[in-house]
Amino acid sequence: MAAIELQNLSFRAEKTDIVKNVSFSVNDSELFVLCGPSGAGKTTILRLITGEWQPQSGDVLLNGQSVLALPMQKRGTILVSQENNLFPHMTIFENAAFALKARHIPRSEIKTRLDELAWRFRLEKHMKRYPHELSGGQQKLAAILRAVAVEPQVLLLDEPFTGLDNNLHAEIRDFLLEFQKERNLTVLMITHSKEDAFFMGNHIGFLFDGYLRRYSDVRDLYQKTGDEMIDSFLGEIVALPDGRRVFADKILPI
Amino acid sequence: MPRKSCLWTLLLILFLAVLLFPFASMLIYAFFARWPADSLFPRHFTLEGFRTFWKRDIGVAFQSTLFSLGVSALTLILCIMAARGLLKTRPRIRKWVEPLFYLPMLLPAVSVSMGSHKLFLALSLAGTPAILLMHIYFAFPYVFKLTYSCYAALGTGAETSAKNLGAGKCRIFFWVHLPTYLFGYLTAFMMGFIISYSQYFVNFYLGNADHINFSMIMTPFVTGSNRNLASVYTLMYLLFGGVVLLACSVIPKAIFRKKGDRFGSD
Repeated sequence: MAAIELQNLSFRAEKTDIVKNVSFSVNDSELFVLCGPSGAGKTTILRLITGEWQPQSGDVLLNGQSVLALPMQKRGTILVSQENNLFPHMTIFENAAFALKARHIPRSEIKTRLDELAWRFRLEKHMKRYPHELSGGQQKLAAILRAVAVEPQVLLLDEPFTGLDNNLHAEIRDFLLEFQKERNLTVLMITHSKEDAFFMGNHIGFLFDGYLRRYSDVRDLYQKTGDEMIDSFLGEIVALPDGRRVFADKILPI
Repeated sequence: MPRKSCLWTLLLILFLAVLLFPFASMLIYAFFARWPADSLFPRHFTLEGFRTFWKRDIGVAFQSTLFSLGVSALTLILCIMAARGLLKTRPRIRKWVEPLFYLPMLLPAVSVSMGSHKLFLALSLAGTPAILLMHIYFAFPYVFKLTYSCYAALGTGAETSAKNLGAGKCRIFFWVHLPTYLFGYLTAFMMGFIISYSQYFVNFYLGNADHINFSMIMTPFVTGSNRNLASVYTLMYLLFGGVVLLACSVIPKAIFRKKGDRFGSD
């Protein structure tokens, strides 16, 4: 059964069709990347899944159940937004504990769980600090820590590497990938970076102008797709015999 | 001394003088009955003004302050609802609707009070607590502007994030909403209080002598010839208003002192 399934989802705002009849599914424990240029409607899809916005037509199914009628709080999805949205008046520990307390998890368990995650995310020295006292990368890690602490059914990541320098970008990307595999998390990540999409995704969906133009296994994307928009977006890809891809001027192990 | 610094000092002295001289003279006249032209110091120390205030009008002062606090709280609740409602509308509609909330600022208080008086008489509302509506009417645009600006500046991302994390309404309100917007709300509340507290025409026209507020009892003394009473009443007016404003800014800061840069430290 698919962890996330979108069926003919459409969303219209200000007389503009932002999401047009989008359907795809994300398997359990899979990292699915929705890729496309800025303004393609990627973030809107995440907001439709979380329940922040309601679609005009179509359905959102989580573990086979339609969640359209459920409020945000009860959908079991956690979104890590581009802005992180950490609560500025709470420490990182309090931020992470906020969601756990809302789920009535005992204090002792909250402490144990967050201590373990803090160590795992290398944030143990920063848990008593306020968000503004952390660097951009640490804030991003803290936002992800807060999200995974509640062990969500589905983790949604909205451009998680925005604003990070190259080293931190690579570091958080590797860490996220490792953590997702270790915990068997179902992740739907959106990005406009083709490199991140290929590096991290099991499956990739290409969204252009609200349409899902292609949805395929990352291993199948080594030659021209025949779709002018996608081919232009991806550029030249060459598959090396050892499985790696030559991606423009970058070599990416997949 | 450099020329620029000299000019700056002069301006500062002038500013302080403009601010302090009236206050100093008010303070002196509050405790002295007379200051004859030929004396270096004021004469005839008296507490008569304070006694008069205590015997006659202390009740009105408290009542007026409480009434304005109530008006301010009600206006704030209305403005929160209006601002949140407006935020949910489409940007194109919002652009046209938002200026409508500021229209009460444009109309002269005297005209509105007189017009409303006629309407209140026709509806048998004159002299009733319905006067509250007029106080809200005058305070609304200012309180709304501050509330709406608070949402526009801080956004609603924190609340959405809290919902996304699975928190219920109560938890979101006390743990996220209130700490995030509290200082914006307090500023709007204080503005609402100042406007309601200083209303003269509204109570004068619509109160039917049943709703006397501090501004109404103070005005005849201020315009009269008894400087002692004028000073005492003005001082008390400032004191009552000042205590409320001070409480509004000090108490939340004390509560949130430990909560990082955004709260309690400036």
